[in-house]
Amino acid sequence: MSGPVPEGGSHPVRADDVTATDAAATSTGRTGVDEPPRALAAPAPSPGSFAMAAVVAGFALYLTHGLLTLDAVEAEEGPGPAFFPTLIMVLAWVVAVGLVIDAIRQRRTAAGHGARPSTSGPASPGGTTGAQLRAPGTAEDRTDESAGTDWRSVVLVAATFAIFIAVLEPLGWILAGTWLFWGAAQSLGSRRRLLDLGVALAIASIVQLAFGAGLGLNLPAGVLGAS
Amino acid sequence: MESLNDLASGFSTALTPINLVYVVLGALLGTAVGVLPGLGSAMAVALLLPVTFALDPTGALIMLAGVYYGGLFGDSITGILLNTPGNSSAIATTFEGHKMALDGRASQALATSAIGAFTGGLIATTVVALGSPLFASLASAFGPAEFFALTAFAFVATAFVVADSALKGLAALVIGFTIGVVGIDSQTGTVRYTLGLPELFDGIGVVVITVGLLALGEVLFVASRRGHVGGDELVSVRGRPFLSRAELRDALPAWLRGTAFGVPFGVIPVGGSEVPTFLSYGTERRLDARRTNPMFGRGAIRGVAGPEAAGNATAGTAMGALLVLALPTSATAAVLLGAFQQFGIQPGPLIFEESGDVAWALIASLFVGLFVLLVLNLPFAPLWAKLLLIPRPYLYAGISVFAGLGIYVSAGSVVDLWLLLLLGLLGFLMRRHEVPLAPVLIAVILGPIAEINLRRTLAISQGDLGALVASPMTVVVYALLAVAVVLAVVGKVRSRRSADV
Repeated sequence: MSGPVPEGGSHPVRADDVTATDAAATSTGRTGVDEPPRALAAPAPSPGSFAMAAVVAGFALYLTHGLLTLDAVEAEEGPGPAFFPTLIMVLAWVVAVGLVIDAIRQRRTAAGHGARPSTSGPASPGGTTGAQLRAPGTAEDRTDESAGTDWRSVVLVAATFAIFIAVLEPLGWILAGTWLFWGAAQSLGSRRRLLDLGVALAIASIVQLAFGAGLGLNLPAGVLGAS
Repeated sequence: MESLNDLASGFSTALTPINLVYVVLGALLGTAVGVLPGLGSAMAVALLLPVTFALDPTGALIMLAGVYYGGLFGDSITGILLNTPGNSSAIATTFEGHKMALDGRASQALATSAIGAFTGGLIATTVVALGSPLFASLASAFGPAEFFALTAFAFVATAFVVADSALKGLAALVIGFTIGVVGIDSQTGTVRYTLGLPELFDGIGVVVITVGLLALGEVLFVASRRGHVGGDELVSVRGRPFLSRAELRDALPAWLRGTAFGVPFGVIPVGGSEVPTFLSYGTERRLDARRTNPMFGRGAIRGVAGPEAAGNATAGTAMGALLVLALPTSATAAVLLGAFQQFGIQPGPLIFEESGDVAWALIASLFVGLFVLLVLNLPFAPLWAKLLLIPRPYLYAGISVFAGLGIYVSAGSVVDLWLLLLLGLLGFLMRRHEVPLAPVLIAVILGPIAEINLRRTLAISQGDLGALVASPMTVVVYALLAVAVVLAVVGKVRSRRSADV
């Protein structure tokens, strides 16, 4: 679907692909008014990515480890507590191997043709319905916008959240919540530092009032709750 | 007509002032979340679930009923005005809806979609109200083998129909199963997969899983695409928000046909309303091509009416399947099932006997919610669109804050927040690699149910696998599964062909 893409050294070239994910309804880039819904766009991982295979293999390992260390209380009758995990462990390893094979195959195709194969090709038993309903030509329109994944922002958001978790109980909701809102807004590209800080403080305080005082939910007071 | 009496008493519960407030509040919040791009009703329910813990179960479920339908009303507003559907269920509506908006008929498109959502939801909810007691008495004869067949149906259908490729669907299922087995085995008391952490003995909470995968995962995904987000141009809305008689006549058959597509799909677990909305879109398109003056491509009112009715009809009967069979047919329904369990209500054939008052109040609030939503959406749709003026960084920062808040107050522990972060990263990776999220949620919720029923079946039959297909009912379910998969694949191939513009 996308046009031929030049080869770029040993690393496979990342061509843009517009495939619908389940609800990735975020817009991409500037678009003409005649285009089909922009929500169908998703950033393209490099062809034949092993990341999902690694994730599933990790889950399979966890299942295996859990089974080996399982201190099972046997059932009085019928299959015991290890029965179902064994089934899913086998399935997990099969899927992990399948994903690796799939990734290798896609990588080969990509290297052979210099273009990324469509993920919803004829081999798969039917892609997401939205993917098939887009008009042809959109992929080309978007090729110039395939800047790839902004890992810096992802790490910043994740780190902001991790710090929020760490300081929530010692510092209390208002300070931690302010940090989370401010940090996330900054990581997502907001540039008005002071205004953002005010908005963040306001939101954290409103939440404290509405949920802590109003609904009686338990929010940590932290250092501000000395009284 | 005993069920009519029960329904009447349900209405008397739902129409008390405080419960009415909950429905309106739920409808408002649901529409708001639905309008925002990328956030669908599954996330609306997940994010607002912790808030409802402060209410009594009936009030909480009534509010969630408003949220449930509200998300579906809201998502098409964004699609029509911005060409960015709020959720996957609104993609089909967006094609003709946005063209209508560009053609200066934005208010008519919004009205068509609101009335369509109302019609589909109303008919489907009526089917549920009248049919589910009957269905429940049929289903009360189900034994463990039948329930295992139903769960197997849900797994295969979601993995093979929703997913881009069957392998990715299976990967999502495996992830869900694994998360689902964490905790103490209910039959023997064996501690499994907890790494010795006492916080995990009760398993990983459904709220943590949904908020992590859907909300935080979405925030991280949006972060990964900074620089992709360009200027959005909102089509302004002018003119009357109501339809002329000719437009009503034009849209009416499409509303009804869309509903007819949606109603059966509510009980088939193919991950929500995407398939029926696209089937409806394809049908309207084919019918339109035969008319003397085809409108598709120029903003056809039927292209909005059909899919929108189909989407809400699916959601309506999905609620029935959830109540009577405890079978979630979409991600949203899976989250709702988790919510029921948190409130100590076990959906299933016995629900009308064990928690009849709550169940009928819920069904009645679905009706009330639809009327509230029609009022909220028909004249005020342009106002809702103003939500899109919130700067994106604030929007997603706000979602992060709500995710953290919700998980902390519902669990009261920092361990769950760390789990939330891990699940958010997992959700991000899955989005990035186009692995569907709905099968994960369905596997998390139904995995343990499948396990119990499988083990019970084999315990009764003393290990004989033939017991799984011994009763006619199980054979019927497995046969239906085969038919559903074939039909879905055929339908997709067809819509692929018909849509090559």
